[in-house]
Amino acid sequence: MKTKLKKNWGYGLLCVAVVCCIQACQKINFRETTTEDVNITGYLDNNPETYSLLSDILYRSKTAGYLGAYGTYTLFAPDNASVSAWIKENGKNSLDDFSEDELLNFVRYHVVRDTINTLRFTDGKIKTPSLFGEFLYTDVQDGVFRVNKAAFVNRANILCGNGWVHGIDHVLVPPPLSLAELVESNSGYAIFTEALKATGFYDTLYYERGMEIPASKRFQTVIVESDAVFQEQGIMDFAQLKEKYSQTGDPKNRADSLWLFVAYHISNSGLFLEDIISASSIYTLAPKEIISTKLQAGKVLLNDDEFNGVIEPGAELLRVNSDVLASNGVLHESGQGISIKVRQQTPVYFDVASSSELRNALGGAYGNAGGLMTLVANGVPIANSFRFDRHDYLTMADNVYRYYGDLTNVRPYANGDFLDLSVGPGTANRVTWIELKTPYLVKGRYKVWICYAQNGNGVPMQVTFNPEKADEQILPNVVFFNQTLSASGISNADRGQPNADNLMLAQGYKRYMATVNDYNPNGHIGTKAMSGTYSDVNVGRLAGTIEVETTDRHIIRLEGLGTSWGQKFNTYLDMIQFIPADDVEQIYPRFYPIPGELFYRPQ
Amino acid sequence: MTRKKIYQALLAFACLASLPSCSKWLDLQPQDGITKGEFWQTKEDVRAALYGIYSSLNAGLVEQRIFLWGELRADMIEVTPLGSDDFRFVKNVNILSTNSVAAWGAVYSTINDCNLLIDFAKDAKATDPTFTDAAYNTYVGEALAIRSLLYFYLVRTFRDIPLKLKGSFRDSDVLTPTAQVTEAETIRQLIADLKEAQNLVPDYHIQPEESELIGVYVPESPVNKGRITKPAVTALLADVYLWNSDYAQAEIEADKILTTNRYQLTEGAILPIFQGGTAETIFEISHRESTPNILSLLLTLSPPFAANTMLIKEDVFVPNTDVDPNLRDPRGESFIYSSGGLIMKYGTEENLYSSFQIYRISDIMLIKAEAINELGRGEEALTIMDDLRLKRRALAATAPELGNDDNGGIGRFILAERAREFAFEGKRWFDLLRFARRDDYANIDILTAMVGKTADVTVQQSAINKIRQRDSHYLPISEDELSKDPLLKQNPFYLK
Repeated sequence: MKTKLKKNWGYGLLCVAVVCCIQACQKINFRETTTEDVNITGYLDNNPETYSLLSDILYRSKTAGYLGAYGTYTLFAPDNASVSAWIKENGKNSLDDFSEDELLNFVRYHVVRDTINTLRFTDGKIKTPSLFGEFLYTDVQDGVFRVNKAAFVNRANILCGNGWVHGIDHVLVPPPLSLAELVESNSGYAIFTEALKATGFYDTLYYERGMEIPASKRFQTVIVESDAVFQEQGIMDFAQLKEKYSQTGDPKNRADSLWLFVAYHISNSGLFLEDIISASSIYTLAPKEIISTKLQAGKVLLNDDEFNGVIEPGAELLRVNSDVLASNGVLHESGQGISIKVRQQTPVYFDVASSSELRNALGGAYGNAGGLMTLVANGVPIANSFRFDRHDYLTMADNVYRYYGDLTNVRPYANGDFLDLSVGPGTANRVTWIELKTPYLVKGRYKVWICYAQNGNGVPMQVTFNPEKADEQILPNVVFFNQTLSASGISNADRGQPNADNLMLAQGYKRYMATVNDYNPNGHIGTKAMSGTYSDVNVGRLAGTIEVETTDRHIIRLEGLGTSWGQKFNTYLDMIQFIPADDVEQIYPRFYPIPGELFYRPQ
Repeated sequence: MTRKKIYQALLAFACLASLPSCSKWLDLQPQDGITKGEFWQTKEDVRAALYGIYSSLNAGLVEQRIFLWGELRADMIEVTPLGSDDFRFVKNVNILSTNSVAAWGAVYSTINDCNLLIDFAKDAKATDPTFTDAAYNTYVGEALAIRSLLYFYLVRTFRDIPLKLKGSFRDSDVLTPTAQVTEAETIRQLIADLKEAQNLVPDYHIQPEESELIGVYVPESPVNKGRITKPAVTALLADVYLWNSDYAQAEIEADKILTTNRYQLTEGAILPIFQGGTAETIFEISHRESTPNILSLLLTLSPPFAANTMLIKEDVFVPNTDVDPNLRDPRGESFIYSSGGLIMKYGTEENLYSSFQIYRISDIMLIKAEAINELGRGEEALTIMDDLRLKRRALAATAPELGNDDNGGIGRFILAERAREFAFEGKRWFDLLRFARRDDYANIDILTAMVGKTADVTVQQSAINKIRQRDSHYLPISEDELSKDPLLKQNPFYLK
């Protein structure tokens, strides 16, 4: 009995196995897709009531497969009504009347190879060009996003498997005119048009799609002055403009002022107002001449600068007539005349702790007794006029603005304040450099004087002008912030000698703070003794000579070098002076803890 | 055999013994919680529910919403690099329905707690003979007031909101779709509820010692500040009337508080007010000896927000450069925010238990000033302003030259004073919006000018253009909520 049971048990198991197998034969439907999201083509197919004509175009131009495959695209989808209107505008009856190429270009202009939802729209171009090779422009009108100032977005942000679809109510058409034609077609720009033609710029601004042109000329920007603006300046017609500017009589000559005048209105990159605001200057075709830009209370202002303490009112770009798209760039209209400013090179005494940006950021701490403020707060510099190589070190708080306006200080500071820096690779977790934006420097050669208060912990610094730019210049002298004036070879005892200043100057050193002998028109007496202890701790050190190529605000970088000392903060940077290289007066004026007080050579 | 009998007997006994336990056995109750049937039996249950409401207020999420909704869209704070992109999109008026700032769950959750108490307190009243009418009224009145307060924030933030007045405690309740009602309807409900609450809530929860001299300030328990009292309800009602442009009523309600002398302005020093329980406060979300204030943590340790010091210096706390640049408004820089932008109003690392101020006596003064100025009594309004500014030691630089009949100018002066008085307290955007909306959006320029200063330059023009649209002043209904409730309708501004 028992053995039989054992045998049967085996059969039983077999039966169960067979039954199991039969069960498994039933087909179970597994989902093989990872998602049920459709791709862009699929979405259009699913919504024929709105997009059947667009789908049709995709299939006819053989791009349906392209937009149906995986990738990253953004499609601006015109609805059926707008496509029908577009067919009529072209004088055709149906899509059959268009060639495949025409339809292909249609699709190319509506597709951007990037995923752009409306959160990434700005007041300017979409940062990636359309497949057509030209940029699309976005803005907002009546609270609704608009593309190329023509088509309103009526259904934004439809997420498909391979990108975004934005429904629009008008077909996007590439701008038909080039910049040259655009200016010419406007009867209000007659004088400027003639000037373009006379100087030969009309030809470089002319473009037809398919033309072979240098890449730098593919997108350009023209800032046009209307006839009304010329007339306000007393220029009634082109003849008068030519008379005013063209000193050689040949406007095509690059030395001719009329050529320069027109060149100053053109830039070799497509700049929308948004780009103009974001950058602080426009590089023009006039060699080394820039237009400075700023945004003030919503207005875009050109050449609105404070230069040497004088405010020069600028010209406003008229928003309504600006951001006009051309096939090869953007056209803006200026409300006032702009022209190259002829400036004389002047010395710039840059008190780094009192720059206007920093003063704004400091608020109550500026020039305040015991004033102290960290230069980096919440991981960002408190003003946009300087930056460090990093802003996230634990020691960031050691870089501070300080104010000690006391006249009895053995280390007085120009205008009473200075930057106390903790820069240099001497210890870990410290920044290695600081960059400062200079005030406006007129183009020319300058001697760069780094003025500091000596401290034994001060680090040596390498000075670089416009680092990482085409005109980068590394200055020859390393500035040792721990050295006194005695490093010039003139001892404390000898510093009172009449010729001491000249001897120090020959070695690239100078006193920059007022001494007891200097002359002040307001009757103040300088605080520095001519010789003896502490007469040597306020040091002006010549870092080298720079060549400034464009009149603009530039960058000075101070980079700390590794040393055995300088483990801590206490690098006291007070001023950077830019004095024209051929200026014989490199020593005066000298400075004082009271803001605005200057001291001159004893008379 | 005898053994077998013994077994049988034992078995029979075991069966009998197990029978009584059967009733319990079949009754399935959760082991780890209290059911609704067991709750709402005694007055202690109702009180516990009320304290639950207060503790959900100070748990942080509600305060965070109030702060975000009231400050992020306005100009006093900026988003630091540590802040999320969602915050930056709000600053740029580039808000989608997926933006996390539009989440309202925390607020509705507390509203539901209030609804449950209002619905079921009467059950406890029926079963507990020691539950007095006075205690019952107080509890229900407090819940009504808190619900109204939260709906007031919601209606100003989203405009058309679902107005749930019944508690949800079953799954089916939660799943029942609720349609939105208009702003007017919500305001009507709030006014009715608050008028009812005024009759339910007492003046004091803990009576102060009687003063012999009438009209003299008597120190009172901080409990009277941390719980809803009658003046707190009145303050909220005055604020609702003001929002609704019902200036005469707003004045009447404000006067009910101002004539009592119960609340007093502290002179000069302002920071102690935020420690809670001072004579200034009418109602605060108290953190005393309780949960740390989430805003202290949020605003001091790697803060996503900082004071927009540049703009504040230009428009709000203008320095007194003509007289003495060292003079400071005690409500401004270096007192409640550092020159680097750190917001210190809610305490720094050392003190995390600052209370979140909802209504203070200065608020009531300014509500009254605003209301009577709109009624054409500018001179009286200026008197109130002078009184407040004198006690606060406001700077001359922030006092414009105004004629008594310059109601427009006085209105802007009051708005600026509110910015100084309630900096970073979640009120600024609602003040701006109330001001802009007045007289069919006569002052929309105040919003466009503000956005011109706060939006990134690359989207500035878009932002200005969008803020001109009235619908854009209200946040979208979050995508999450739209998918849960088919009756919810999105604000039309966000449909394109």
